[in-house]
Amino acid sequence: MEEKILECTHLTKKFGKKEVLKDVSLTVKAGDILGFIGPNGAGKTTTIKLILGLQNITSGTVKINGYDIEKEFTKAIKRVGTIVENPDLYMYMSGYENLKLIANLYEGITKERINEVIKLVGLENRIKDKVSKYSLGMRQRLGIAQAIMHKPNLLILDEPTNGLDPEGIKQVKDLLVKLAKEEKMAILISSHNLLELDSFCTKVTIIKNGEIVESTSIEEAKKVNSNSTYKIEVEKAEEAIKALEEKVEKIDDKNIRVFVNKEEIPKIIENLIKSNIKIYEVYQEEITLEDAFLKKTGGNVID
Amino acid sequence: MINLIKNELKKIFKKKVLYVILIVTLGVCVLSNILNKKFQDIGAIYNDEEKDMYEESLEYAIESGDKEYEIECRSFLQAAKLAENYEKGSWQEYIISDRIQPIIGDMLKSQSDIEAYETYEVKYNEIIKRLEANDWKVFANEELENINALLESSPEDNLLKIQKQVVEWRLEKDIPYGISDLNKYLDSWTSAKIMEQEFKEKNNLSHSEKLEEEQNIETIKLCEYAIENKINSNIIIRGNPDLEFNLSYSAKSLLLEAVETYQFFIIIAVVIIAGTIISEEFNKGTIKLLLVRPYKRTQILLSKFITCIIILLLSIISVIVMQTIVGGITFGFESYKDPTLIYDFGTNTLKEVSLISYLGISTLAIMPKFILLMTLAFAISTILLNSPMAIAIPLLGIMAESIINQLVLIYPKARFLIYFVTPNWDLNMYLFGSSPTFENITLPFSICICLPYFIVMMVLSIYSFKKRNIKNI
Repeated sequence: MEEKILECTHLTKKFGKKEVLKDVSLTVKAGDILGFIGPNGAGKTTTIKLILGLQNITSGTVKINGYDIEKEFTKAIKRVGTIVENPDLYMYMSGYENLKLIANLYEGITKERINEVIKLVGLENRIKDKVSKYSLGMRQRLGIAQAIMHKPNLLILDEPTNGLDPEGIKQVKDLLVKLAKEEKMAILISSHNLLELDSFCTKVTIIKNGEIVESTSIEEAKKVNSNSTYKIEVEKAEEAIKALEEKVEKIDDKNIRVFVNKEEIPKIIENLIKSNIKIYEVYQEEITLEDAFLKKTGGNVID
Repeated sequence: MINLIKNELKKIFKKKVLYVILIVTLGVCVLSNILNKKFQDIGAIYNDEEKDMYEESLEYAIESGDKEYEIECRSFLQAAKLAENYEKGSWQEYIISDRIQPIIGDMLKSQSDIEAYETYEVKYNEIIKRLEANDWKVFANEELENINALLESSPEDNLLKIQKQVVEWRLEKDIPYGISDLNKYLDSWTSAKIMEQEFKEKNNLSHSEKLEEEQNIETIKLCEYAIENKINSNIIIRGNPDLEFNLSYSAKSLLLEAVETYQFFIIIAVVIIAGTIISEEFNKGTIKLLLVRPYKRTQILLSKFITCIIILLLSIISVIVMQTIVGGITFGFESYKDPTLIYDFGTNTLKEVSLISYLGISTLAIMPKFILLMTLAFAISTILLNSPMAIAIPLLGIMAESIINQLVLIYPKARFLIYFVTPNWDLNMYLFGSSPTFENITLPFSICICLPYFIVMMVLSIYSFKKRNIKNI
């Protein structure tokens, strides 16, 4: 049995009378990468703040490495690395000075370790520059560096891919996979975009309006998404719908949507051509995992 | 904890604000030293400014036909011309102004009366002759003779006795007339002695009169010490306005009051740091970086508070060092060798203390004021997370201090304000056994007033910091 690093049970958070989190339970084991998905305002950041002891828990418990975050804060937080919301760093200092400050707060972080981490996030060339001169992507990298510097066994990252270019996103993903595999780190990573996460998360948890609506392994989640949709631009939508037997939907006068697998697409095109319908464009519509879930559960309402 | 404090200091020294304040303070320090020096150099009796003034006045007097004023101006200008032959600030200059100028005036007045004019002229020539003989003691002896003659007719005249003592000192200690500091000690001693008599005659002194009397005693003792030991420079005056006004500045006299003189800069530096040290981290979001480390929130808060105290000490030290160097360059470093004297009201004796211990004690005594203002900024910063307010309110507090303290001094009805913190936070008034500025308060009383303010502010800060939810930014 793998050890549970993070265990949240029945977390509830109220701001006044407003309940922003309702009965949220989460578990992250060593080596797991948990994708924590939800639209803006769903309660992702609040959950993370409760886990980190940055806000008071109304009811429920958070245990990290077996220590309760409220009762034994220093022990619980000791092996946690994190970025909450934005990578807010001291803008008037250089990247290296920022890391040095944080290294001072833990025992046994050597110069070699700091340099190693800098290399790991790819900031060697700019580390002596002031953070105020960094782009958001570079700050994000520095944020990750400060989060992993003290070799935590739980990494909590709030939207870590914000501001990164595709190359950067790939680097971060590779780094996280490596950390989870080699150092047996438990990683919780939040995002509003599941597509970005599905390639490397081992589990996903979806939160909406403060409640968890789905918590499953990534394989399960992908099954839901297997039926894809295609959009076809034709001359007259009405005629095209008549010509097709498959499940089809009219979008507007010139566009239709078909719900089929990839293999059936050539056949559909053939049918349309046979019926003398002019086709201008055929393309796969990207329905994210999240969209699929949201469809299932209705839209998120920010109140 | 020590690592936390080190980090806080690093953060502060990376910012520009402290350096800006330091440079501004240095600028003010240099300017005020130069101005003090300049002011002092005008010290000669017949200086250029006065001459210009009298020349203008003379033209005006001739135009308006004011004979008497015309004579006054003319006699000054003639005397000034005569004084040009001698060194500025020399004893001859003093004699010219004290003895010759009135004679010139008399001569100008009696131009129509030839007989009178001639007697004055004889007198004039005689004094000039003696001036050239270059012996000021002739004049002193003459003065002494005159006083003795007067004393014979009225032996109980106090003023004459005082004047006699001054002349005797002058002769004994070889103090020529002039504007040297020793002369100023003689002058101050004279006026303080006269005041002493007045206080003796009065019964039921009010509190403020008692304070004045104490100061008077201090003036007398200090002057006596300076004259006896022939110290021709400014020796310690613990805010004694009688002497402060008269004596010339020296590097040392300015240094002794440096913390008080530049306290506003110290307060600004400390209040800016204390007022931003918490709120800025909240407003910029960096507090999260700090709160997810293996330290308790109380530890984090206290380390920030201790950092503020370190900044306070550093500001005080830098002000002292600054004045030591700038004062030394402007006025010369010799005066630092002068003794540091204080008058102990407990034992009624004059004591010599070391410069360092005097600076230490007087700084320590004003500490409650600095720390309370700093804690106020710190508490507002922690509770309201509003830096501008955290900086502005303590600065308003300094303004309120002067108003409230005045009220307590002047209106008996405002007496209850004595329980407010401002009349109590500067413990310098208790030093060396002197009576406090305000009636019927004691050192334990002041401490009992200051402490609760401090404790309440600290407890509220700690409570609000511990319970605070870190909101989204």
